[in-house]
Amino acid sequence: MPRWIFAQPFRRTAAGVEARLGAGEAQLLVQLCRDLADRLGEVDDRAPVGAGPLGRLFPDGYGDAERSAELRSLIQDDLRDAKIAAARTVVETLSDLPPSRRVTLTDDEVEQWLTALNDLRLFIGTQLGVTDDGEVVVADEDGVSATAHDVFQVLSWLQSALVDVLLG
Amino acid sequence: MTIAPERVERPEQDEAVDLERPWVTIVWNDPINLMTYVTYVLQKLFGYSKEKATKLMLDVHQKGKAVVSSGSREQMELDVSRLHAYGLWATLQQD
Repeated sequence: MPRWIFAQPFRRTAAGVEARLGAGEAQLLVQLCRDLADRLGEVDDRAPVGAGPLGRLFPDGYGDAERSAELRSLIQDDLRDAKIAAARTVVETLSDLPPSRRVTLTDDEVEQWLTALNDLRLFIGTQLGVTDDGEVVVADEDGVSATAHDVFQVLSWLQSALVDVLLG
Repeated sequence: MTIAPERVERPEQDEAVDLERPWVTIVWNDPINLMTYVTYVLQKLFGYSKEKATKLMLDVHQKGKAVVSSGSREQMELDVSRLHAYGLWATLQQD
């Protein structure tokens, strides 16, 4: 079992929330957030995003298609830009880490981290076909879905640890 | 105790009542969002106590959905967009 399992990745300090990720986790998160920002850049200002993993990040606002389309035309560009900004904040805060790998996040940066971690979980979880209560059904035993499964678990662990710190 | 009439006649009021019906924001259950995260978001966005946010989260989880806010259509569209920003699955409808 990797050593990071036993470490607390976040803790509350006077200045905000301190993140201390393992080098591997930090690298993984930076890469995932870069990829996510790229994918989000493909999202149109108002056209429906579809039913896939990216579409899960932009759900309908109404049960009614016409009203949903109307609402999308008003909010989808801002929603997309906020999600891109969140992913970029994670990349920026993890750039040029000191040797201790400790970085203090402001309240605003913490919200951005939560958003980006959750968007990644929604995207990858939808790809994997996560069922209720977080159970993951791995459709086949190939290397790709096994890796995605591991990534999803790491993201869930980070998100859960961050929320626990915030809820006190 | 009297027996209520089968049908109350108030045709003139129906339209006005309809317009005054509030809109509600509903959060739907989904298999990916963490329960603690949903509780946190409801506290953060609506200023609910931990108890109220936890109860709403449990309603979402166990009953499949919960009404998390109500008000004008414009306000509920704002609430839905804020919930979407946090990745929760939310819609609005007239109550």
